[in-house]
Amino acid sequence: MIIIFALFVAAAFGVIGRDTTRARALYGLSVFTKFVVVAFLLAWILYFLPN
Amino acid sequence: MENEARPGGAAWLVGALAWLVPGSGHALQGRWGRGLLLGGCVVGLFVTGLLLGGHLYNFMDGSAGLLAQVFGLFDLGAGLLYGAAQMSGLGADENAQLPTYEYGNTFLMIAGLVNYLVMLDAFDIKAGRKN
Repeated sequence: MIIIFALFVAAAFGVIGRDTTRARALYGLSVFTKFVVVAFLLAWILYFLPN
Repeated sequence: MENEARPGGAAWLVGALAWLVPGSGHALQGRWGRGLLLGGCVVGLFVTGLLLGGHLYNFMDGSAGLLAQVFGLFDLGAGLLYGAAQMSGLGADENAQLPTYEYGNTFLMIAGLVNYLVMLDAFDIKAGRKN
């Protein structure tokens, strides 16, 4: 689910946030990666926290 | 201080259309690829949100509390998608028993918020502030 979410949002951010095709692709990829990595890190942190 | 010209009526019209139909603001200005991609992202987020059992909040309904009204404003960003879903009863039920309910809510709200950004981008392009 986070992959679907990150794909859509990163694509939109990439198109809106940069002006050239290359910059858009790189920025979109960067946003996508950050979404996924941060989500997994947070998930593992929360997993070890007591209820 | 920079003396920037005020955006004309056409920019406001494009902004309004971009809000109503996601991606249309860019498409109307000949940026079909960008329009389709941005519109597709908003529609994709919105449809996924509904499929996950998300709830569309009504920003006019004060009985559910202030936070629900703020969520309603986020949802409203999806424009006609929000209106059509409200009229057809999609997303009307609060299926809090579903494990994906909160995910669905988030997808629906983000669809609206992303469309607000898309709308502002289309407005800026028409106003000559951006390419």
